[in-house]
Amino acid sequence: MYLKSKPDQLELTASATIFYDDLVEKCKKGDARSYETLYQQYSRAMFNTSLRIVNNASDAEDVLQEAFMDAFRYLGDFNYKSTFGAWLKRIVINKSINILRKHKADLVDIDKAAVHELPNDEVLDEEQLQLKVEEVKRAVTLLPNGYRTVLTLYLFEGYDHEEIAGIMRISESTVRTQYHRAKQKLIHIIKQGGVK
Amino acid sequence: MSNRLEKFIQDNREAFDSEEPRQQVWRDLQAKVAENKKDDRIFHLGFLRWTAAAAVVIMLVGTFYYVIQYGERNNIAGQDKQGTPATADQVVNELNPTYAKEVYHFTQLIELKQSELKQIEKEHPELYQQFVKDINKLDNSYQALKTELPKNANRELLLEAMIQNLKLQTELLNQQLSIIKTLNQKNKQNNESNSKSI
Repeated sequence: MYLKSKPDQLELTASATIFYDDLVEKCKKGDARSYETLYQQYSRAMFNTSLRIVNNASDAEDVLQEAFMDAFRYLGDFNYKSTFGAWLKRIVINKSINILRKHKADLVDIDKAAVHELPNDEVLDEEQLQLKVEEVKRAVTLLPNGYRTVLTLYLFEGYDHEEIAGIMRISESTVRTQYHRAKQKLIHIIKQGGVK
Repeated sequence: MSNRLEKFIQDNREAFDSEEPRQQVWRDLQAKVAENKKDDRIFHLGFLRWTAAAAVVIMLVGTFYYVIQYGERNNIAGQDKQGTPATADQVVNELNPTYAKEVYHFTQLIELKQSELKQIEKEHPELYQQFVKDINKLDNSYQALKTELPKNANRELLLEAMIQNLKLQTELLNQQLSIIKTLNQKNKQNNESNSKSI
């Protein structure tokens, strides 16, 4: 559950960490205002994390609510081995993946067509990409479930392949191939979008 | 393979978290939290806390006797075996003098508290027996760690575990002593009310 050193808004300075630890301690004692502060602080990031996986706002809101409920309830188990944000994020991700499973979504996508139809030079030519946040966001929503999950966990949440394999309960080599294909497909979608 | 995409996302990571959940999510959550708290009050405080307290008391009571019963025997045995613990102590000292000081401090503290505790042996033999038993459980694992120390490669970690164990022992003894204090106070009150009624 260790986050890589990718820039992440949940990475905190030492003084901020103390502030959040203090907040968590107050919540442990059942202080209602601290609950709200904690929610306001983390809800947006957690909502977006979930949204990128479940791909619809209503499910993401359910995840958000349940995740915070669990976090408040089991706060006593939180032991500062990671930051509170990283701990909460794992709850959010697990719940989001469970929603995909409930919908019987495939967590491993077999999309050979996508790989074959793209010639390699096109795929790997990222240099010419005109990247825009909104474009990338839209392209992510168009990925199939399995690709999207692997890709967002790696690119946005900063987990490595091994961690993702553990989270999704699939093999590390599957994660690698899924990530590779997901990225190709994403770039393909972005390029198509640019043409339109 | 070029990493333009990775870099772009890293550089703009915050901008990707632009969606907002509806306010209603927090309101629902708030209501649920409040509801849960009510349950907590009934369950946790009423039931769980008391069972936990009872469990601690039972454990403490168990520890005591053991310590008293076997304490002296261990003392004698300990004097004979001075050679073995000395090597562990040396290791501690070589490894980290601060740790060595900590170990010494806690051992002293534990000894002091144990002798304090021994005073209740006559008054509450069963309680004492139980208390001793609990402390000895901890102490056994401490001794195991200590024997392991000179052999083990990961000494730093082991030493930390030892100190943690000593801290636990101290805490346990503290709790035991506070239980005795409460007991004695109650006895006193009883005696006083008895003498008044006479």
